[in-house]
Amino acid sequence: MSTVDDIVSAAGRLDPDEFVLLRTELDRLEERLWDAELAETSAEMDRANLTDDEIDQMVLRRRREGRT
Amino acid sequence: MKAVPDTMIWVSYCTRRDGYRHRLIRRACQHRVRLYVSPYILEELTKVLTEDLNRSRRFVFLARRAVVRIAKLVNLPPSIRPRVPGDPQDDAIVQTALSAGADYLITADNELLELGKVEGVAIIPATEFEQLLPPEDNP
Repeated sequence: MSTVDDIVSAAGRLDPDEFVLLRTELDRLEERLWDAELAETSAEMDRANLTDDEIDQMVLRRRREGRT
Repeated sequence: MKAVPDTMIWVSYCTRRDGYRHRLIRRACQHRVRLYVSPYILEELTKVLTEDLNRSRRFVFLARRAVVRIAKLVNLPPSIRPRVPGDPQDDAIVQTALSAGADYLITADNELLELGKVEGVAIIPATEFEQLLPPEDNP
């Protein structure tokens, strides 16, 4: 059994109050993971001198290509 | 106030933590602006993050979740009425704002900006949206 299977199995045995507590903790963990990922990617994009104008061009190029 | 940030605003939000657009979205949330996003915009966000910026599946998953934590997801009708002449790709963006009942669509797409207003939705650049928010508190 994988760790994920173990966790899901244990979560299935929680009472409703404990389950809400678990979800709250998982949400907090997810936000911490996102903060770390965002910080790392932001630093990488800063080093690459990525600008909002370049981001605009990426999105718009995809839209214009999708027209054809 | 209800607003729909276009895809490029979300891409900036998810990749430039200290950037202007990230701070703008945070300010909007602080001032209780209700933000909306559609599956179409999330899909565009996913493609740019994955294919143009080479972000991992984990990053993209977390980014999408971060967006829907602060923006309400609105579904689009199966058939979208054409509103942007010659550019059906933009119709889904406009429809997102219409389906959300938004006051503003914030974009850097000039073809959308040229429309100005569609059925009560004002289509404006980020700098104009910023003017609608209360001034930032000085420390």
